[in-house]
Amino acid sequence: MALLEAIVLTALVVAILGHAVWAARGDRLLERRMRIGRPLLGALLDRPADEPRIRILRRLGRRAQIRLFAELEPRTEVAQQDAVRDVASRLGIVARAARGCRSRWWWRRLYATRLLTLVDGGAYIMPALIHDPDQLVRTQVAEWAALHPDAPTLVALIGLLDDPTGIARFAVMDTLLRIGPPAVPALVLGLAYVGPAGIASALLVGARLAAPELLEPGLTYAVHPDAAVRAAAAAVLGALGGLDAVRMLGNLLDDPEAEVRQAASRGLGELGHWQSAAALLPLLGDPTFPVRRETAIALTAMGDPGADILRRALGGLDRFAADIARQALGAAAEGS
Amino acid sequence: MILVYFLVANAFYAALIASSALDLWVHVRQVRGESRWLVLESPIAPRVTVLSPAHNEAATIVASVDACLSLRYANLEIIVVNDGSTDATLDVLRERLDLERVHPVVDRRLKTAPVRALFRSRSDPTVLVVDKENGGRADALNAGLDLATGELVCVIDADTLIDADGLRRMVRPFLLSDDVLAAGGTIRVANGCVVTDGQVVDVRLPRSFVGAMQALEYLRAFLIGRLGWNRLGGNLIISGAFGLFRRESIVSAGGYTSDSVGEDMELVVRLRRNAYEQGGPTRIDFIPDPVAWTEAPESLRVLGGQRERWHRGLADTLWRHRRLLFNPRYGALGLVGYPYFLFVELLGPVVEAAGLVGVLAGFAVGVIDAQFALLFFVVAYGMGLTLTFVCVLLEAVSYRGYRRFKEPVALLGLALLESFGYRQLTVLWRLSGLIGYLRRRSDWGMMERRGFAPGSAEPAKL
Repeated sequence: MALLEAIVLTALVVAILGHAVWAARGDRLLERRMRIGRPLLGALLDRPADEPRIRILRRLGRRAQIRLFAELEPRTEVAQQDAVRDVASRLGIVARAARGCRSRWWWRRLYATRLLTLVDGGAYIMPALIHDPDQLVRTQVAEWAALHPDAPTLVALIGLLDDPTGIARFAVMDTLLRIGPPAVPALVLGLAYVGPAGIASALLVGARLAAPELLEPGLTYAVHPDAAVRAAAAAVLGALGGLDAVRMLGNLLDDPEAEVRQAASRGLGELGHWQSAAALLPLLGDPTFPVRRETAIALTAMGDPGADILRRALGGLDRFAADIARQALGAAAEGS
Repeated sequence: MILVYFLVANAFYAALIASSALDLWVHVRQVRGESRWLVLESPIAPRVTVLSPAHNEAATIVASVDACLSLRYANLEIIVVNDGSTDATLDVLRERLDLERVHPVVDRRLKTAPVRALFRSRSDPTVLVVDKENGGRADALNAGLDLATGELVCVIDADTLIDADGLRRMVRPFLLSDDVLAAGGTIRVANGCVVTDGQVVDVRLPRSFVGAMQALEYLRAFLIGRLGWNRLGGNLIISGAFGLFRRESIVSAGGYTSDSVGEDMELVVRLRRNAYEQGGPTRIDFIPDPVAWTEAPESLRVLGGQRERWHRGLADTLWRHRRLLFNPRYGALGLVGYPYFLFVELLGPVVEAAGLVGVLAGFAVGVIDAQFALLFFVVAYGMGLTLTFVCVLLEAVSYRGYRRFKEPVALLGLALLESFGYRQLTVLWRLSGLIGYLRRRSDWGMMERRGFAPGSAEPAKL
């Protein structure tokens, strides 16, 4: 037993010290290569077809090449993206990553999709991975799609709004927001073929994009049987405004679900629709605090008509309404 | 009896380190090449409220607030709770943050000591400062929880420095699974590191023996004691220095317990217990990335007090939740996690002390064979060393915080020395904690804060 331990301990010491030496050498080497590579890559982004420079960059090794591309993040200029893709293709990074996308191992596919996102390549292989069994691969493809907002990719992306994993849904919503207005037609189209969770997510994206095309879906889904969908529709209506939207938001103030009443209150507040102030008075005494809070904030946003309602609640019999009105009017006893 | 205990405890350690290695392997592959811009820049990133309680933290509060402000996260709120400080903590905050008085709409669901005033920073409106009467750390956290608007709350100590990307990494488990109740991050010792603008920019081992030994302990504790439990489902601890929770879960559970010295652990156990009893997310995920840095005690006196308090807190929590022991209703928590913490963590020092006394007594009366005793010592020492060396190796091949060649060498040296005096001291402190708990002691002991001097490799002497 003691002998076995001695062997294991010796092996561990050798591994730790060996790794320390090897890694320190690797760090020094990488740093040197990065110093050489930075000006090279800078020049190549201006002239990607400069073969002598490509050859030197190729000799610096994959690790340094990828690190150099990573240093360019986040990129915003389309011209630079094209140049990055071109240089990465010439270095063989794109072809190698594309091979990785076909691997049976999730970590290889994941790393390959990340590389292709980094160098903005792989348009011929990435959409096929949108339904990959691994959630992180799907997430990565969604992130990549922000730079490739073509119609088939967008439609497939919206299908992912029903994904069972939070990170994939999050990535899709984020990507749609990054794409912005060009995503709206696909978003409206996609509402028809996703489930309630997907509809709610799509509407929340729509609320942030505030595109007029979403008014009709907002009105339609405001009467959906699912409360999360109705709340998301209220967010859309609150972002868009207009007579029909305000009327529907007024109806939603009487919704049986608190999250819908809260969203409707918030919507009216965001619109600053002071004509609705009186309709908000009953919600100051709502049984759930988030609704009361949102209503108080909405009334505050409506200016004097809202303040009048708050003052009326302050003198009223409903203790909940009086308390929230007191806080909203800034008359809170210090320290409460 | 001692032999059986030794075998069982080491079997636990081996299982935990294997689980930890597997988790590290998966995690390193999951984050390899990951772009940090996705969550960082997203307008739909989950809102996170950072809660930082401060009591007489004038020396470190500015560095801590600066560290919070330098966090790269899109949807952040910072609440600093001045818990009745008698030093210049509030004045320092006022000067640094240009505070103005505010009256937000608040749902007071948790009972706390009276709040004197609320302030918002004019220079950075994401920061809210709560000035309240002293009620202890748990009470301060509850006051912050009442005001928090984030769906996730991040609890940090005022002397914690969070890595700029730390929150992004901590939010990840919540995005990966809806079943995550809380997430903990790996904490490292900040002593000796170079700190600039509230960020650790150069990781170094502490220069003092006590500090360096704690760096080794933290490394091992977080790899075995935390990460190792991820897959086994028995995690009971999220360090008070840096943890991320679902706000609604904590508030629904009644917040932190004010009458416990181990309120962080007590909360985690209560949350998990509630989840088993009432449904809802049950998992505690631990992320292996080193995401936060804390100031460790530099003197044996202060360290002893801290360890004693930790052990009292452990005893208190395990006693409060004794129903969990071997209770199949609580799954891995009741059948594996709780028994481990009871028999290995809590009672470990008792067994070690009894073994030591027994061996000495055995020698004295001549009933112990010296050769056997020596062999047992060598095997036990070797086992301990093996575990520590594996931890050092795992850290080196995954995150490599300590990058200079001399640092892993120093860690190996410290591991060799640990069993000769330092370990016995920790046993003594932990025993003292257990006795203190049995005597119903409830004080916190003391911690001398030295602060982090900008650009220095040593904590500043204030």
